[in-house]
Parts: sequence; structure tokens; C-alpha cells
Amino acid sequence: MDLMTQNFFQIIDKTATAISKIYTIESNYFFDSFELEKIIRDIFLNEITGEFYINQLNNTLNDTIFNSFVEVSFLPEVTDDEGKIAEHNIREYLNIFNDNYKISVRSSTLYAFKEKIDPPLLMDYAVKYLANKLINNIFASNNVTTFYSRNHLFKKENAKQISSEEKVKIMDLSGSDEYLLDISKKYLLALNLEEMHCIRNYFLKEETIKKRQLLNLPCWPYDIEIETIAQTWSEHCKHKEFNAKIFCEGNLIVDSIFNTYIKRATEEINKELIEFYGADNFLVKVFDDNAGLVKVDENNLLSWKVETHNSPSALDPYGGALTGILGVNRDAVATGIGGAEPLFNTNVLCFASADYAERVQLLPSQMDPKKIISGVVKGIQDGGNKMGIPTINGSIIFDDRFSGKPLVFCGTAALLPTKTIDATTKASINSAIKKINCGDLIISAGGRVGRDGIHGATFSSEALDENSPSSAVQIGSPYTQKILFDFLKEAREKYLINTMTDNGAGGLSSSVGELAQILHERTAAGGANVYLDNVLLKYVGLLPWEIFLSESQERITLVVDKDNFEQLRILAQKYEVEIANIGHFTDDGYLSIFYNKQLILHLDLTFLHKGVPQKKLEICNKKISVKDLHENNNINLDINLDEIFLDKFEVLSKDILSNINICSREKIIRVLDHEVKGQTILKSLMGENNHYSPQDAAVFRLHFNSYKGIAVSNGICPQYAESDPYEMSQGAFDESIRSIISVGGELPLVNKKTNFWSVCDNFCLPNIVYNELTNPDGKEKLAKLVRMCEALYDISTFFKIPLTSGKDSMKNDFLYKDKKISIPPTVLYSTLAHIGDIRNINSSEFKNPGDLIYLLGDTYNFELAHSRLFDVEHIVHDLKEINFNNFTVPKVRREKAKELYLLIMEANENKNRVLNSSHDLSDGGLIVALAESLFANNLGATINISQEKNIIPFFFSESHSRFIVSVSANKKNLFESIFDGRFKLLGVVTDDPLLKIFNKNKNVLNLATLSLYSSYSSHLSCSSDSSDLYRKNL
Amino acid sequence: MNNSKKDISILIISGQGINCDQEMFHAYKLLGVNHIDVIHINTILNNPTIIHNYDLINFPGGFSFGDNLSSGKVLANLIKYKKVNGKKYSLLDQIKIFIENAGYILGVCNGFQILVHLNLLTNTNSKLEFEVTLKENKTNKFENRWCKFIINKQNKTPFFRGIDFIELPIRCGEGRVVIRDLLIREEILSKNLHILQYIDQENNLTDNCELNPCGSDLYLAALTDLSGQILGMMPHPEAYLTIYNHPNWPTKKTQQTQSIIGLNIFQNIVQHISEVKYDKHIKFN
Repeated sequence: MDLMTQNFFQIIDKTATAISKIYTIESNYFFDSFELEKIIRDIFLNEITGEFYINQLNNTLNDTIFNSFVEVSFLPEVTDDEGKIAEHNIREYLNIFNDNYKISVRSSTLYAFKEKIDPPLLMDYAVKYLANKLINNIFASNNVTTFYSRNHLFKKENAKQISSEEKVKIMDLSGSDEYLLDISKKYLLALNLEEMHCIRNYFLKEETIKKRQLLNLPCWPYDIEIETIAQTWSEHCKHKEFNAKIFCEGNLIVDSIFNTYIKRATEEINKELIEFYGADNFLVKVFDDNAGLVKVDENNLLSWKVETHNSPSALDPYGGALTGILGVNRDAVATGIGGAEPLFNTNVLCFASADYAERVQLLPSQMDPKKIISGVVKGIQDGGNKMGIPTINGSIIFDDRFSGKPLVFCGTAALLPTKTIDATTKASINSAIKKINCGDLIISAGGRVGRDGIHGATFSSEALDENSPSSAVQIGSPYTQKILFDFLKEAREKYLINTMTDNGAGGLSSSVGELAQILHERTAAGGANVYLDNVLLKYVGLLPWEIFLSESQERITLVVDKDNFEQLRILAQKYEVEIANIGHFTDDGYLSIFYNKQLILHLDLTFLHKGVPQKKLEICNKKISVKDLHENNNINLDINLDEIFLDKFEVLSKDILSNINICSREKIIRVLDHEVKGQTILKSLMGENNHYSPQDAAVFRLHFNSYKGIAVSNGICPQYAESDPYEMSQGAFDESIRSIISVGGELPLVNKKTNFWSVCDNFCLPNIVYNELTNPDGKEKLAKLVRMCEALYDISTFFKIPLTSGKDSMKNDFLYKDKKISIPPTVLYSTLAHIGDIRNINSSEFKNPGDLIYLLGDTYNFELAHSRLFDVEHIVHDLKEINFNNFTVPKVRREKAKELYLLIMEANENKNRVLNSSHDLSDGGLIVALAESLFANNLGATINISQEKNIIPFFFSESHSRFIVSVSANKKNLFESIFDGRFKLLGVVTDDPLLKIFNKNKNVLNLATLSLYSSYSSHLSCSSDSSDLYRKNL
Repeated sequence: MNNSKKDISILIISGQGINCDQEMFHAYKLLGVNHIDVIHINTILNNPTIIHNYDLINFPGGFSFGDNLSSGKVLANLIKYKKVNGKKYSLLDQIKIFIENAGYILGVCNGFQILVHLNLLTNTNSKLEFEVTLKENKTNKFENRWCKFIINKQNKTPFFRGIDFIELPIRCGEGRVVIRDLLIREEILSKNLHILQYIDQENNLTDNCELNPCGSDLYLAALTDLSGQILGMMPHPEAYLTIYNHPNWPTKKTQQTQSIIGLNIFQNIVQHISEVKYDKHIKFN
């Protein structure tokens, strides 16, 4: 082997001296110092603001002497995009692509401090603010010369060569139950005893034994075989808890939540859609691909998927969120035949608030929520912005119960032409169906394989504790994925690819396994052969099972007709995308893996995909439901909130607007590119001159040559979960559809016009598996989940709105010894719907002085349980006087809601544009919605009501299915005839920017719009990355 | 004019993380231009002379090479130094000829950053030296925000002809124009190379970070070269092709306010090239 030499250089920006970059080059190409200097000057340096040092680091700049240093680089196995691109650029510059020359560049960041700080303290500081030990190398020193040896950056190759016998290990499964469970635990298989028995039985079957003897395979499985089964059977891939049999005191009460509630709902809705619209209705593909597919117009299908990335985001917030968004991009793009055009992203985030660690002692290895928030936001920012996909809708919820695990929901929609051309027959075929033939090649495209992300699928279904594996953490490369997508799109347009699927959790084991299974189900004999030696690796030394399971990012598995391979290879070269031919599909019904010409995996696909035993769960007997005490809807509050709060109305209004769950998200929205592509029509914030009103839903224009659009909304309200999981789930669903009705969407099955709806459901739960010691309330938690699903079934079938895809994330608990932090049961509904003409949509802000303001929908004064009103800090003291049993969480009254939505649709249909604005009411109730409507154009409103009592509840109740709308005075009669008594006239929009509220002509509130806006916009801050924290703490 | 408009040829560069090529394409499409090619940068690097088939080269926004080594830097390096198949010239060499032949170049956002790293802007002494650079925004973060700009009427570039003010979104993390020294600053001012500057509601130049998050020297948001053929701008005109892109369009629409939109900039250059095309076009062999 050639002698490798090391060089490094530091690049300093004169405007920010305390943070500099170091690039370390290891190569067998000899750089003399003259050449190196030229390279640095020509391709690295900014000649106006930069300075550089070769093979030394400076410690004095602009008369500042630095005495402490921290260097942060990536661990050798973690993606170092900057190093990789620097290497690419040096090779281009020197015009050396010859493999004989090894050039490897690693990038790192050097933080310098003026004070002399002891290295251990420096390390603590670095771990707290600058880096994450799971992904970063961190070096701290007071002496800058100790950094001159760069060896710490490079992985030493294993001196001991692993012999090929050692590369696969036989896993003896004979032995006691304890032994089997030990294996499961030791190898992070996350398999229970029943599943281990089931695997053992498979290998003990006569048929298996015979076949394996014939193939010269050992009786017991190789490690790669058992690992592959564990991945395929993981909670992540098989949703074992959502498919479990649920028993109550020995009696089976639900056989699969998924089939009973979710799938059944969509099947029933589909029947009605077929009856109404015909077999050719908008629902094209549900539940059995990477994402749901609906038809948006004659020529296009829309895929829609929302994923969670909670555990990875808890361990490394930046990498977790980044790979979350990039991963869901791949799901949406690789649906059907794949190569779809990503349209937009969405993000819903649940955190503990940034000041959590100031209030509560963190548990060991529990990350500071402040660091989680800034890392996640930065991850979402890079994931969307660098891919050129606008992030157009989202939500952020703060609750201390998310301090153990945050929830990070990432969604992507993508557009796929309805038809494609069969490469061999030249016939026009349906692009929703994955086309796979025996003999087709299996091509891996995109990033290379390393040891990153191994066991992500099995690990994601486990609670977090101090021993959570670091291998599950990784950093994504949006650049790699962007060029991959560009390539896939052209390959699809040239009909070079039959179909594709994403490499997500489980890596090749799940992508190849799933594709083979599709062929297997169609032909009853499909299979696949994979040759692991052909897989492109990031570095040597990976074991075969690691290659097959690795979750290295930015990879898509393609199915390619062998006649097209050469053309595909040439196209890949143009895009600088690496592809590898790693195998082909067969007709033997088995998944077979070869390594070094030896067969090391041979598994019956039916067993692999259908062999997992159905899980059993226990549920409690208590009916988890609310006291339906307020069924009659007109209870009298035995407490007069007005007495306590009316004289504080103004301060309450300002405080609720600055409440962390209500205040402006502008600081986060602005760091996310939300209008790249130029098709975002209704943005999260509308307005100008730095005054913005938040909107109910986003509206995205479908094409430049038509005015059709898509409305995008979400519904989530975990604050109601503990008290009433049924109403929480229903309320979230209603929130997501009323937002769409508000902007101008239409319920299905009302008229025959083009329409589509696509809802993705994401359930996130704490551990629901009962255990007397570790999870004594597991049965109650499962009961809550069942109630949430019942609600979903009830409301989706009522509105005939189909669920097209979904995901569940279980065991969102953080454990430390006997302490446990569990999330509240949470469900997110992410909804897309058709907009006929984007020019006619409603936005939320008031537009014209003189317009009349109406409230639509009924307010229930007692629907204040867990409301934001009671979160207002100023009134903590007063709350002692309140009996909370008087309140309930808001309830969805489906019939009434639907009647109202139909009227709003009628108003929107009317050619005389009845509504000038529409804003739905949610957190914080009427007062918040009113204030928000005033912001964009800095207008005022004069509100007149006439109530004996319950003024405070009227303005703060969070009853569902309500809207405030504004209407031109000259359309008063038209409006009132359409809404036929189902409205309450509140007042009028004024030019004078003041919100004035009168009850029986007595002024009860008088606040300037600017003052409301300053409360609303002051609170939430988010520093965008760790170096920002560094700057602040410097 | 319509016919000549259809005759002009537009090149839009794509690939390697560029991501605004499609809306740029639609801008010209909306204007009725027939010959618009979106071509991968690698195809152009492999055959740099193909740029001479076009009247206007567009460098759209995006994140070429993931913004690594600073925005636009790596792609600019390839344009400067890459020579393939034993050719003696780089793409930059051909771009210089393209400019001599009176071709036009538009760089938006990442495209502006690329033009700056190529030293095509501001290039006051025609020696392609570092004169300006783009650094992290003053707010130290990426921002997507609509800003208001005043157009320097003394600048002779055709892109902004007839426009006094315009609102456009910026979407960048490195949009702060830094000028090398006072000399260049004087050159920019005296030769009127500044074309867009951030202003407030009263049309005064502003460094308020909510109105001007980048915080450039001279409140700059866009620059041209001496000839006005090369325009580099931070805000995105292709993000404002119809009124429905404006963040307050629903109100503007009810009040029937007319505004200059981003499409007008493309319209100007297409019209200008159409008018002069047959006088100036020199075929390159």
C-alpha cells in the first residue's frame, strides 16, 4: 500500500474569527506546499474575507488571543458532506479521478475561546452546546499545537483481517427460552419469545431442513438470516401492535385495530365513492405502497405520506429531523412506479418548551429540549431548503410531556403522471402499479453503504434509555438526494425504470424483501437473488449482515429491465449518481443472498412476510370515555368566570396571544423556504409590512398552466388526550377538515365535480403493552388508543373522507432507572384536498374597513377543559377558585358541523363571492381568531355582543367547527339568506386599528391591534444552529 | 415583436442542487418564448461552446453542491477550472466570449453567488478580480421574506427598464454583499452598478433587519457589470410570476391594486433581446 500523507489547513473568516474551518486531507498523492497553497487560494478561500494556515492553526487574530479550543468533526462513519464535496472539488481541480490516487478530506469546525478553560469543562460545554457525542468527534485543548496530529480523525483499518468464515456466524437456536430472549436482546432484534419460537420452528421444519441440506446451508440460520427476519418483523415494518389481537379479561374484543377501524373506514368510504363517482374515482391506492395515491386530475396522481422520526430526533435532533424529512421525500417519490416530482413538505413538531431545563432537573442522558428544538428546526430547514421542496404547512406544540421524546412528523406530497409506457411492450400502463418481472435487475442507486443506521427499524420501537444505540443515528445529505431525484425523474420520463422503492428502515433487507414479496404475491413464486459483493460501500470492513441491513441514507432500490440497464448507467453518469447492479428477481419463492460466491441467506418469502405471529395485547375493562355529562349542551356553569376574569379581559387577551402554544411561529417559518417552485399561493403567514395573519391551511397551485390547487392542513390536539381520547382524536380530524373548508375546499359526495381528499393518520403512543412492574397502566393506555381509533372510524366515515396512508410510532417513553417520561397519546391528521380555482380561495385576514364580522358555529361555554385560557400564567393564582369538573374538552357535533360546512361551500360557490375572509377557531378560541384576523392589514374591529353572563367563556371557549368570517356590508342580505340564522353578527371591521369589544354597550375590552400584535409576535425564538448558541454564549 | 420573441433562445442551467430551474422555465414559457432549454451543468461543462447557441444564460437559485465550502463556490470552481476531453478552455473562458458577443446573463440567489465567485460581478476593471463577495446574512440565518427594493434608474441594464420599485422574496442564508474596499465601492456608485437596494415603506434605504435581513454594504440586493449584460440578484423574480404569489394578494385583489411583478423583469429582457437580436448576433463556430 502506498504511503499516505496528511495535510491540513485552516480557513478563517476575518469577520468571525472565533469559528474556523479545518480541512484535513489524507492522500497518497503528494501535495507540495506550493500546490496546496494554490488549491486553497483557488478553490477554498474567499479572497475578500478569508485567511488560511497550512499545517498549523493560528491562535491570534485581530489582536485577540485565544486560549481554549474545541474541534468538532464527524465520527468516521457519519456522513461528512462538506469533506466529500471538498474531495470531489480537489479531484476535479487536479483532474485526477484515477482510483490509484486516494484522497480523503474530512471537514471540522474549530471553536476558539479567549478564556483559558480546563479541557474537561470545555468538553462539557461542547457536549452541551456544540456537538453530539453520538455523531461527533470532539477534541478540547488549551494548546493549539495538540491539534496538529490529525490521526484522531481517521479510522484505523482493522489490523486483523476478518477471515471469510468469521464474516458469517451461525446462530444456534436450540436452548432454553432465556437463551432465546438473550439472543434477541444481545443482537437488538426486538423479538419476543413467541416470535423466537416461531423462527426456531421454521428452521426445524422438515422441508426447511431438507432444502438447506441440499443447498449446503447449516441447519441453524446465519446471523444475516435472523437479522433479516428481525427487521422484517419489526414493529416499524409490520405494525404488530396495530395488528394485535386485543383481549379484555380473556375475551377477544378487537382483532387488529388497523383492520377494524382504519382499513375498514376507508373500505366503506371507497364503496360509497365508487357508487357516487364510479370505479374511476379519486381513490387510487391505499395502505399498500410507500404512500397513498389519489387522482388529482386526468393526468396526475398525488402521493402523500407523513412519517415520524421521534427516536432519531431525540438522540441527534439535527440528523434525526433531516433524515426524517429526506426519508419521507423518498417514500412519496418512490410510490407506484416512482420517480414522482416532490411538491411540498409539511412538519408538525411536539416539544417541551425551551425553558424546560431551567425549570426541571434533566435526567442523565436526557437532552435539553432547547437543543432539541434548535437541532430539529435546523434539520427540517436543510432537508426542505436544500432539496428545493417548499415547507408549506406545519404546527408546533409545546408540552412538558414531550421532554423525553419529541415528536417530529415530516410529510411530503409528490406528483406522478397517471400513465407510463411499458419499456418492453410500449403499451400505456397504469403508473400506480409496481411493475416487476422475473429476471428484472435489482439496482441500488444513490448513496453508498456504511455502518450507519443499523438496527433503526428494530430500535425505533423501543423506549429510549441511556444505552440507546448510537448506530441508529445518522446525518443525511440533501445534496446527494437532490441529484438522485433529478436522475430518477429523467429515468422515469425515459421509461428506463420499471418501478422502485425506498431504502428506509431495514435498508436493503426491507426494500428488496418488499419488492420480492410484491412479485411473490402476484405470481405465487416470485423471489430475489442479491449479491452483496456488488453493493457499493463507503469503507471496507462491513460484515455481510451489516451491508444488508444498513440504513445508510439517500438510497433507492430500482427494478430495471435488463435491456435498459446500459442506458440507465449512462444517464446515471451524467447526474453523477452511483448505481450498482446487485441482483435480480427470480421465480423460486425465496429470498437468496450471496456473499463471496457463497449462499448465506435463503428464506421462504411467505414465511418472511406472513410468518410473524399475531401479537396479543391486554386492555382494561373500564370504558375509557368522558363523562357525557354535558350531552344536552346547555349546562349552566355553577361558576361565573366573568366574576373572576372580566376585569382582566385585556391582560388575558394579550397573554393568551403570547402563550407559547398560540404565539407567532414566524421565526421558524422564515427559516424554512416555503415558496420555492413558485406555487405556494396561501402561505402560512399572509400580509405585508411585517404584519402577518396566520392561515388555516396552505394552498398550493398544481401547475403553472391551470388554476387548480391543493389545500393542505393538519389537526392535532394532544392537550385533550388524557381527559378524552375519543374527542381528542375527533377534534383533531375536525380541525384538519374545517381548515380546508375554511379556505375553500369541498366535502366529497356532495356534487359530481372533480374532488379529492387524502388523509394521512399518524399515531404516537407511550408503551401500551401491559406489564405489572414496568408498565402497570398499559391496559388503560391501550384503551385510550382504541377510543382514538373508534373516533377516527366514526368521523371519517361520517364525512366520507378516506384515509390513504398512515403510520404508528409506539413506545414514546424515556426511561431512566425507575423514572419514566411518557408522551400523551397523540394523533396527527394531515389532510390534502382539491381546490378548484386558487384565485377564489378565502384567506383569514380582514381586508376592508366596513366589512361585517360574523361568527359561524355554536359556542359551548363549558368547553374549556385543558384550554389555553387556563395556561395563561397571570391567572394561575385565580385558578384555585375554579372547579375544573365544570368543564369538558370540546366535542365534535358531527351533524351540526356538516350542515355548516355545506353552507360555507354554498357561500364559496356563489358567483358573488360572499366571504371576504374566513378563519377557523381553535386554540384560544374567538379572541385569538379575532386578533389574528386583524394583523395582516393592521385593521381594527368593533364588536358588540349582548350577554347576561359568560362573556369570558364566549371569547375563550375552544368549541370545534366554528369560523369567523367577514362580509361586505352590501352582501349582508345574501350572506344571511345563505346561512339562514346559523350565524351571530359580531360587529364590523374598522380602519382605526383598535379592537373594541362592547357588551350591552359597555366597553369590556379596548386594545390597539399593534399591542395585540406585539404580544403575539414577541415570544417564540429559535436559534438556528449550535454555532448560534455558541455565539450567544461566547 | 411577437415573432422575434419566439426566435430568441434561452438557456437555463440545472443540476447539482440547483432547484429553481422549473419556475424560471415557466417565466419564459408564460412570455411565449419558444426556445427554452433547461440543461444539466455537467452537459455544459462537457461541451462549453453550446452556450453560444443562446441569447441569455440563466443561473437559477438553489443549493448547488449543498452550499458546502460556501454558497455557489464549488460550482463556480468547476466553471473556472474544469477542462474536459483535452479541451484547452473552461466554461468560464467561453462565458467571456459569450459576453463579448453581447450575450446576457442572469444569476438569481445561488446563481448570483456563482457569478460573484466567478468574479463576473462587478468586474470594474475587466480583469475578473475579486471585488465583491457574498457572506452570511446579518441575521445569521436563512430567511424567506418578501422585501421591497428601489431600482437605480441610472443603471443601464435592460432587465429593470421602466421599473421604479419592486417587491420580491429573498430566500437565502448568504445574501450579504460585501465590497472589497472603498475604491470598489466608489466604482460601484460612480458607474451605477448597483441596481436593487432594500427600502422601507417610505421608500428610504433601510438596514432594519426585518426589511433587509441580509444587511449588505450599500443596502445592495443586486448588481450588474459595466455593460449591464450581467445581472446578479438575491431576490427571486421567478417566485413572483402572477399576483397570486404575493403574500398579501387576497387584500390587493379586493382593492384592485396593480403592482409590478417578477415576470416584468423577464419580459423586459426578452423584449430587449428580441429588439436588438438581429443587429448584434454573431455566430460562434
